[in-house]
Amino acid sequence: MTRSLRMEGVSFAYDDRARIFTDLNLEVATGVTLLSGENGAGKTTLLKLAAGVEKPDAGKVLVNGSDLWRREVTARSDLAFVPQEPDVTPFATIREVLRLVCRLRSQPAEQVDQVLAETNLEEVADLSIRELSRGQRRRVLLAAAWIGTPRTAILDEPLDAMDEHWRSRIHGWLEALREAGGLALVATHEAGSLAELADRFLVLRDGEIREIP
Amino acid sequence: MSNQTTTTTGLGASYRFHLSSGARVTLGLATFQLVLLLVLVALQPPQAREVLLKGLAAGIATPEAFSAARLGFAVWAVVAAAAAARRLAPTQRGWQLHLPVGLRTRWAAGVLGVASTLAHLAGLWIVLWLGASLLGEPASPRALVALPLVALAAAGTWTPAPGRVRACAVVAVPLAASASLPGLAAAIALLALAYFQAGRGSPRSARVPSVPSSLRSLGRRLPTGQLVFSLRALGLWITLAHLPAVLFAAPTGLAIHNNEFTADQTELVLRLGASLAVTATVLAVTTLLSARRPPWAWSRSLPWSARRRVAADALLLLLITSPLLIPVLYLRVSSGLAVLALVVFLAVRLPGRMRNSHRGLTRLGAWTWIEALLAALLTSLQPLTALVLGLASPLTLEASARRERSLKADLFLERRFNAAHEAES
Repeated sequence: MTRSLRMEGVSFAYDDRARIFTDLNLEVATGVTLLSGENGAGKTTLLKLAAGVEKPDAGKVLVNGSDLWRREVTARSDLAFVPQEPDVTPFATIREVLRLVCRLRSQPAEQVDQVLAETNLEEVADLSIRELSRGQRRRVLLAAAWIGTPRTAILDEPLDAMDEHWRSRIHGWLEALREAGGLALVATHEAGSLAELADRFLVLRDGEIREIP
Repeated sequence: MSNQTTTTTGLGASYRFHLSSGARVTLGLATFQLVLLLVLVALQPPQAREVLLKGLAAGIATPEAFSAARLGFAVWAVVAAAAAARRLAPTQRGWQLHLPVGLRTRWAAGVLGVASTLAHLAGLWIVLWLGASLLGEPASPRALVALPLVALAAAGTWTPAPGRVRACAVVAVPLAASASLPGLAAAIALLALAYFQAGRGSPRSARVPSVPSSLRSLGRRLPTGQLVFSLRALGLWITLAHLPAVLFAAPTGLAIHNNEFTADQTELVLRLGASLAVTATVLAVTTLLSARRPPWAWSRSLPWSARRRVAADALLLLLITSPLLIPVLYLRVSSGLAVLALVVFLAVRLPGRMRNSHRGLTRLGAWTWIEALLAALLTSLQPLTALVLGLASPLTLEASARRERSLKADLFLERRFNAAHEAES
């Protein structure tokens, strides 16, 4: 199955005074696509629109051909989003959050222990997100992204707060994703370290996307 | 230059700190507890009220080892102590751990702090003991000795500490409440053991018992954890969820009891009181939920629908409100069914109303309150309204799901981050 992510005529604003995107069109195909841009350009908002965290005021977002807001479950079933700010409810333990992800992705509960071991989070599995360091919090989201091995990944500054070991693990994940015919849209300021993996470079400026050849 | 310094002990300083912070805040909950108790007593017919108070007094003061009244008070103390312990917990960890106070002292100060928040309960215990004594009932001095032990053991049950310390405290609660000589001796021994155990182990093991294991396992069994996460967000405030209902149920009960209404009039009064009571509860829970549960934007990228997230909130509101329906259904099935339809309508409507991008989530807005109260009044006056509301519920659920989809989740995050932090501290 070929993966794709399409935005058609997307407009979005947090409030009417500051419109971030107007009639934005974007098509991302299989492979690794790097997205860069200045601070405040709207990279994070773009990724949130692509991941279904925010709904566009107009236009539509299609993930693998399914509209994110009309076929909510289907469109998200093969989608993993790793935001820059680890946003996990404080009213659940890490294990419970991962169990929830397992259930929603129809995966066996054993996967929780598996991803906890892969991300070295076994010892903190029964703690709340508040009790973890920033790096650990980001690893929780990585663990969630690895449950059910989704082939469409949206990552916001994935190398941020990660040490060398975890940076190379993320490199490895993206590489495996590309080889398996997956799609990764990665927003980063550190294009240098990820450039060797990238099939495509995009720059976001003034609410518009330009491709760097 | 004067070199005069004021010396104090670590215990004294820590205890005073608790009294001026977490314990003081928690003591505010005592007002609600006492008002609730007074309303419940006042609702009884005069003869029953007298029997109840005399029975309670005799039960507290009795020299017999098994006393339902003392055990009931002990359970109340344990529940009330849990709220206080959550407030004191932040001062038992983090940066505070570097201060020159030993683990044992820190625990003892915490226990004393939590026990101090049970002052209202202790006052009531003493008043009832004195009452029994004045009425000529057998009043054992051991029942008075049991009081501080019950309070300390209840406090120790929740004060952050390793599991073995809290286990000693929880076992000491019923032993102290027995007020028998062996029971009191065992309770003292267990509390002493807890004190010595509190000094062993690492501060890291002194985890805050914020997530009971029963709730954890409940979360695993449910199809979605959202319900349990929301219950945890409500925390012990959920115990007050039915307080607004009492404000309507009490006058309704008194009106029916003290007047000679016809059957139709009785049904109307019952329906009116019940409708207002459930509406007040649903509004109170929704307000609490919107104020205490932080937004979880990332979860929107997971494969579940907006309808499912809203339905989980609706289910929570239904679960919390449903106990109120039992007496109404018992008294008049037709009125109970009408009120049930109203509850279903409000339960699917309000999760949508609290999802508003352009307003802080900490309040629902005046229109929501007016709308809910109008629905309650119409259901009372014309039961057929309930049928309309019931039929409209699926459409209302869809409307709420639309609001959930169009929510600017990040806007909430920015506005409510501090509120979310406060919810845990």
